[in-house]
Amino acid sequence: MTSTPERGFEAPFCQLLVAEGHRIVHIDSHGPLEKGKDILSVDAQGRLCGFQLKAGNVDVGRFRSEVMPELHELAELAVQHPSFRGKMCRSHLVLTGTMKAFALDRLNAFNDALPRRLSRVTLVDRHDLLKRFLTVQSGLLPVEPADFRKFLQLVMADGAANLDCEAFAEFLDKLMPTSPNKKLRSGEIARLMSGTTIIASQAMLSHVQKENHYSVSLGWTLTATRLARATLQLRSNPPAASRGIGVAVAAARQSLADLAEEAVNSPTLASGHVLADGGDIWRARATMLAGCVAASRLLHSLNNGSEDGEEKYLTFIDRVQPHLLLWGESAAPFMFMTYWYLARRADRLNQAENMLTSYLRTLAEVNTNRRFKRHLPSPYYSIDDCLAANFGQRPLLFRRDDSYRSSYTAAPAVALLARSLCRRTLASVWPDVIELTIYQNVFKKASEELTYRSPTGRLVPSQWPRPTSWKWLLGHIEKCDRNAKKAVAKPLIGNPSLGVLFLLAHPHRLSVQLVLWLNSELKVKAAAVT
Amino acid sequence: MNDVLPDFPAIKEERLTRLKEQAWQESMARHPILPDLRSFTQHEGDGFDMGPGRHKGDPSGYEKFETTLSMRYDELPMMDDSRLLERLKQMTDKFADEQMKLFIRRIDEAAKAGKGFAKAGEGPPTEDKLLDMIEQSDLDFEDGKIADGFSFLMHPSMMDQFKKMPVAPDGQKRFEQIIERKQLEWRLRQADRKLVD
Repeated sequence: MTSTPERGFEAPFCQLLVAEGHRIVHIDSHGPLEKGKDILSVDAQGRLCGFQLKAGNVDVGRFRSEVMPELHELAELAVQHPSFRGKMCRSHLVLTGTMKAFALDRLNAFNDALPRRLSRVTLVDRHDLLKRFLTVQSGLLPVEPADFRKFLQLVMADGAANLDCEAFAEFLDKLMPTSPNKKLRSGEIARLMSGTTIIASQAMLSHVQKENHYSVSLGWTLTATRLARATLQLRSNPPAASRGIGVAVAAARQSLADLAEEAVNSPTLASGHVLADGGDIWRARATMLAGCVAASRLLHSLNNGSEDGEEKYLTFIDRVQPHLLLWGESAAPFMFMTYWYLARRADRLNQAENMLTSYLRTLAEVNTNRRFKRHLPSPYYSIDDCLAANFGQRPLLFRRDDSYRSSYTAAPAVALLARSLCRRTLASVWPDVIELTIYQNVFKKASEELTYRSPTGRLVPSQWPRPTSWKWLLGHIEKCDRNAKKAVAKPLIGNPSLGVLFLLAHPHRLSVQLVLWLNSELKVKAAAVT
Repeated sequence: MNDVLPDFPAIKEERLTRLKEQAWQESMARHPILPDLRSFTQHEGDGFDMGPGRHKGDPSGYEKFETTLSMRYDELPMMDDSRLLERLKQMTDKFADEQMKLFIRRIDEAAKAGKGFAKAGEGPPTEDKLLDMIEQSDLDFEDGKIADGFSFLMHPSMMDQFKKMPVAPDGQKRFEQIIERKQLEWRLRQADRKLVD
């Protein structure tokens, strides 16, 4: 972890602080509130702490040019955060490397020159960090060869590739205490949860180092979801869990925001080896980016961010929309995010509805028509699976899993269009839609919805009534909407940001209830905007 | 460090490998003799010798071919497999052409340097000239017939002239004598294939 860039180290370090009993107040490197404090927290004794993070080693030259100005702000300027405005904090300089001897002299001189009323800057270098990280994760690192191999596979994965969500989630599930039968004290649960988040940050290290924001965002979302599931299963919600979830959600959100900035500023949207980057590869990336940019802006809005400056994000979506690719039903979250983002603006409502209708029309047409050689794979097949199958590189895992006349995501799309009263649009696609068998997973426990793959629960097929009346459809959606809050897992209900992120990372959990709930959460905000 | 957008490096690698192979095969098909040439991959080192004995060639090393492949970023959305293959073929066609030119040049150099050289002289090809060429060749035999792998390489413009070539009155007889002699040489070569004291 000592080789990660400064930005990638923030979240793991926050998780370490949470494990040590801190409450994170603010994470904001490069923001207007920073004033030398990348992270602001309140420690277990209630003291306000500020941390300046620096990646790598610091010699005299770097100390003078880069570190010193930040130290002045860290130690001498009061906190700007509204909750602690004007207060001074305990100052820490955190290095992922070490400080050379001459630079140490300069730090000592800096501390000696500080007025008595100000707190000295404490140095935390890689040796201290190592000790602290090891303490938190002690006894948690997998020792069974098979589990340790899985851990190494995650750590050593190609950081430029997409995170293997299933393997990552499975690995975390093994670390996380989830059996209510196992009696654990609250302190022990908190320790296990904190340790798990630290190990999670190590498991996504190769993606952090490559600054693969999409995968890092998925990693933190999966971590937050696993923590949320553990709190449900153990019927215990220690402060460390909610703080850990908060830090993980913030890290996922930040990664998505970084990705959105990178996308809108990229003139080509090319990545990696350009020669093979065209066609479906480029179009799949454009589709993902449209969804991620939209999700990032929705999260920004959910967290009371300013609604100004949206034009560049809307322009980006306009730019890629003609090239969107429906590789399978795992594309649905990206399409839904784009729909929500556009639908929140009155002047974009038609564009949003047309896009969602196009998704539904293509899905229904391809999956109900034998003349298509391949039908759109279910959301259980990741984009990597689908693209590899499209290029003839490997068949989908279950060759007989034919999605002919079936769908997991058509019903949620119908629900959103019905909610928007798009009767004529739905009527135009209904002859195909009605032929689809709608699949939905029903779980015995709410916590199972938060698993990546649940061993329990039932797959329930259903069909639309023939003929389907508009009145019946509206009534049915209304009923689903009323029950949505009960059907969606509690940790998501209390945290719509996690809900948005959850959907991006778990396309197979997309259900009518989940989209109706998110629809209402996002539309509530939209009312003020439009 | 460059940021990365969502990417599929393994899928791209496999896609490119498959298309490059396909493009290469199609380009080779334009020069039917190329697939018959010995080829190998040098896994280590930076120079090579063509091999011992009569196949010893120029040890000066590889001949470098270069070509360019251009693609505009705005073409990426439409760059499906068929278009990418077309683009790669432009590159592999050039490589195949260059390889063919090199092949002919090397044959010419080797023939002129050694005994395998028949002077065509001026004027159209004749049966005698053709038999002179066979005379200069090492032939392998299988079941009493010339073994597969013996072929003539000529410019397409020569082909018509060969078809119209006048037949020498004793041509068949001379051909049979050459083959008989070549078979004897072949048997002697075969007889050498033993471990002796």
